[in-house]
Amino acid sequence: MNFEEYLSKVSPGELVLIEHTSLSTHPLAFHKIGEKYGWDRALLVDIIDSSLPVLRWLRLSGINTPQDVMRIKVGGVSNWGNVILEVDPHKDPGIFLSKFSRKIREVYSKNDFTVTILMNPERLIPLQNGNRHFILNISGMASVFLGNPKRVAFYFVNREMADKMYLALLEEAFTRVLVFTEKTRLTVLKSPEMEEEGGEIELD
Amino acid sequence: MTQLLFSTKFFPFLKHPLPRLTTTLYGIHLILKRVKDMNTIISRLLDLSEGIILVEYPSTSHPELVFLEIVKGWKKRGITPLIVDIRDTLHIFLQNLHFKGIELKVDDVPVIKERGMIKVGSVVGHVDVIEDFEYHLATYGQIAARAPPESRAHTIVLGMEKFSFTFMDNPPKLERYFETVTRKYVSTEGRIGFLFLNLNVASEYLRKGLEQDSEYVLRVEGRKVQVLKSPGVIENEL
Repeated sequence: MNFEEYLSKVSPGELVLIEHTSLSTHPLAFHKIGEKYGWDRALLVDIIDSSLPVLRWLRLSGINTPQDVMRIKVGGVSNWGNVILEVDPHKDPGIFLSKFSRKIREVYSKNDFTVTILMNPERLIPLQNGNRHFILNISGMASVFLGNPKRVAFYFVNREMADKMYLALLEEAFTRVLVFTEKTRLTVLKSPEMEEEGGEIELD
Repeated sequence: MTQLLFSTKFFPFLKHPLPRLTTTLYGIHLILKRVKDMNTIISRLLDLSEGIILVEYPSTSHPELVFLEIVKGWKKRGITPLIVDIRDTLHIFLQNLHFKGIELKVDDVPVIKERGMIKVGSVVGHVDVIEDFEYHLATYGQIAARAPPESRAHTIVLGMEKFSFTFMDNPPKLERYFETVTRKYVSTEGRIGFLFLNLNVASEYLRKGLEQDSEYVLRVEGRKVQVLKSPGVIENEL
């Protein structure tokens, strides 16, 4: 199966986890998600400019990159896209998480349908010195919106860098877990259709 | 069954390989003996009147199917359980069922929430203090008293690993937790309790401690359940 076909199986309200590596071609998955749902319906939650190397990879591969995407900046310096909120992840997590959660609710209530793309939330954990309460809080925030039919969300997480317990908490909550097993190939680790598990998805 | 066990699904790309009994012929023999259809095992356990049953599951598996069997099975027997929902794990399980096309109604099931934001079921109260065990237990006791005694005798705890998440690499504190909370909370006198534990989150000390204090230990593997521990000595069968 190819990735586009696979995306049409995903229902509104689902949470999809994409576990990539530092060498994988996850920028292609990012691109295909945007093209499939339309960048105009996308909300990019960009942790410390994690989208930048992804966009650069796409540009250097000769692939069109999105220009005016709705973007929540969690740290970082780049002002690309339509930045609707900026929070400082080095500060007290209580403050930035509540600001973030208020904004995201506002976006969902204003729009009929949103595709949320979260780039590398695992990076927040070392910034908060691996605080266990923080890990529980951010994984808990992901599952709050699980089942909300006004959105679907894709999380990109580098499994080589992520805290293993954080990753496992996400895997439990998410309805689908796709993992890069080769440069351009994903394996389905978890799916509501269990017979799909172990199956492969081609990106190119 | 063997085909399912040895399919690629369980091996090459699992990031957190679990200790398995497949390395020796004897091990394979054991697995063949003990792995059974989920429904058969759950249905036998539901007829018990006493015991702690630890349900271990890998993070990408489907523990919600075991949970579904328990709730449905007890319902059939006219029993409404009490659910202890730690950090919205009940919501996670129900949503994972929903996207499988299964709607499990829990509106009439008493739920004690321990942290977490999403209320599902008939919430009888919240326990927000976790790390002060004495205080926790006192609050829990007061709230649990609001649930019918029959429900209290049939408890399902979801999200065990999230309760001790902040101290599960701290054996002295874990020992106090086992002593003060787990051994009392699902006290076995005439009670039955299912404890759900995510294996990829739990520390070794937490898992081993809970396994030791449980009469039954089950492990979810796809649509099968492996029995790792049960009372009696004959073949360790249920």
